[in-house]
Amino acid sequence: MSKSDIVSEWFHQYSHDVYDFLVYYTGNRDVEDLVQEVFIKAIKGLKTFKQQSSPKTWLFSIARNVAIDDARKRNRKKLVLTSELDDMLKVDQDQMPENLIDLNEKRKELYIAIHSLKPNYRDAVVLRGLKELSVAETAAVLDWKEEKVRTTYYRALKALRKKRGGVEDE
Amino acid sequence: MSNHDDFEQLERELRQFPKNELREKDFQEIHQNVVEFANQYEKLEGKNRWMKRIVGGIGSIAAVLIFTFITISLVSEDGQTAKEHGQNETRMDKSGEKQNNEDQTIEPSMDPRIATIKETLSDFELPEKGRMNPEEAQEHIQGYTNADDLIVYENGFVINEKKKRVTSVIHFDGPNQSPVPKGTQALAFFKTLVGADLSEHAVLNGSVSIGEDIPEIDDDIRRYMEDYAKTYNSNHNAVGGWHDIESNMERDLSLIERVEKPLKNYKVLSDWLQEAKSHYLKAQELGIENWEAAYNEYRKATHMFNDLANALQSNHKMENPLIQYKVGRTDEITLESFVTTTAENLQPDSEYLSNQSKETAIFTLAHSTIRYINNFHEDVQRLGMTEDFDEWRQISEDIVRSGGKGEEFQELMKKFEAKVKDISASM
Repeated sequence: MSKSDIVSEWFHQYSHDVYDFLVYYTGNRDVEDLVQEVFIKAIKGLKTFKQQSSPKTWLFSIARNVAIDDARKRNRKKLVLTSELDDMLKVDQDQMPENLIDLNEKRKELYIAIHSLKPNYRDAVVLRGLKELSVAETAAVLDWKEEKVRTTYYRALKALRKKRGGVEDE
Repeated sequence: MSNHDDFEQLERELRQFPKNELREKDFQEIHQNVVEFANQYEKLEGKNRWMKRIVGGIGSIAAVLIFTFITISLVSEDGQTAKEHGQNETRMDKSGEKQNNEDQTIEPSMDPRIATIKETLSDFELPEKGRMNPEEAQEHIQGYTNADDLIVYENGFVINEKKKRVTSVIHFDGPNQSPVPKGTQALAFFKTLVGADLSEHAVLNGSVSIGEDIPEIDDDIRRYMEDYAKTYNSNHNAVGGWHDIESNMERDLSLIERVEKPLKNYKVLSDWLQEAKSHYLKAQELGIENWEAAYNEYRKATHMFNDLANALQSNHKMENPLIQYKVGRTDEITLESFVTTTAENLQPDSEYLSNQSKETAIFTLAHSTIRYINNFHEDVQRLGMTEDFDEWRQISEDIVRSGGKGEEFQELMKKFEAKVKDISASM
């Protein structure tokens, strides 16, 4: 079984999912190059792929890293403080570019709220909420313990609700 | 609106976000680029391997000399060093996750191909088309305790929706007309076969090996087969021998035939299946005249099915699968350390339990008990605790069979804990 056979099979099974994840993770629809990069990295790292991770969660974790690296590259010029790293993947309502994902007003508002969350909340909401990964899968992608996924996701939902003007936290 | 309702509403909204897909043109283009890169990368790796061998050949001579020098120095300075080091290597840590500096993981890294097939056989939707309506279905599944989980298809397949395994096949067109699975029914059917018929293998001595590799050819087998071959043509009704293996292969090939066509859509799985099939066909072609080569081909096919069956066995819908519980290589674990670690993991304040639910922990520990307990057979006998360990294994098997759910599982959990505690205290 050659590398190309394996990756070809994975591409057929997961490329749309990886693309969808990258779109929501970056807020940009033009992420085809990133999809390609994900699979190239998968080929290079195939030896390190073990049973601990399913191909899907492994590809998602690569995709997340690729998206973060890409954001770093794009923001390198304006990067002054390390703390700005956290803000790189935020989507600003005032700077919604044309190629940003096409959503109706209500969803756009929710989506912007998601991207205004702190990074680990955002990770949990995109993976658990939008991509509907299980707790175990999310834990595998983020290299977290499952308990952390549950707690962070719960807190993220609370924060999201608050941002949307819902029930106040107790 | 309550907190709970509020969260549910929010989650519903999140799930309703549209799904984005690559445009067909982009899909094709990226796919082609990726495949081309994989081919080039593989060629490059091939060249590098040769380079490493050449360099490694020279380097290894130096390494052997240095290693010899260091070993002699260590032993002469402190005769106990090596022994102590060995003891450290056998110790498992409390979490059951990390062993020592070396990779002592007993769960071998899974062949990416098996991992892909496992994913394919786990992550699929059963066909909507062809399902009987509930009233009609009820006629066929009356009496099933899990009837609510079953889908009855018009072509006769009865599939457990949760487990995605075939529970029964109804022959609507007569006993000799086996229904052909359609669409993803084939995945459910194949997955079921791998866990049943396709991992039960005839052995030359007339027994059946279930999920375990059949023995390699040794002097006993050779002697047996030499005698057997002399009378091959006149002992068609004999038990064991090549006849059993021929029948086994015929059965497996006919089962493969039923699924291979619908599985063609899943390239990795289909290629894997064709490879397994080719070993059977080769074995048939070689036949009794070349029984050693034929037996080895048969062995390769059965090994492939065992591999897949083992991979699928840990594929329960538990959120924390077996693979997260790692123990050191069996030849480096003692019976005592295995029991102690299991007992420690079950302590209420253990790190192991703090990482997961008790249900998941016990389900996982039961899995590893089945997997490793037989390695300590002689030690158990020496301790005179065969009965205790048999009971422990039986409870573990029942836990795995329960799928980690239901009232029975809750009872078994208590038994498991009690038995581990009991054994640990007696050692």
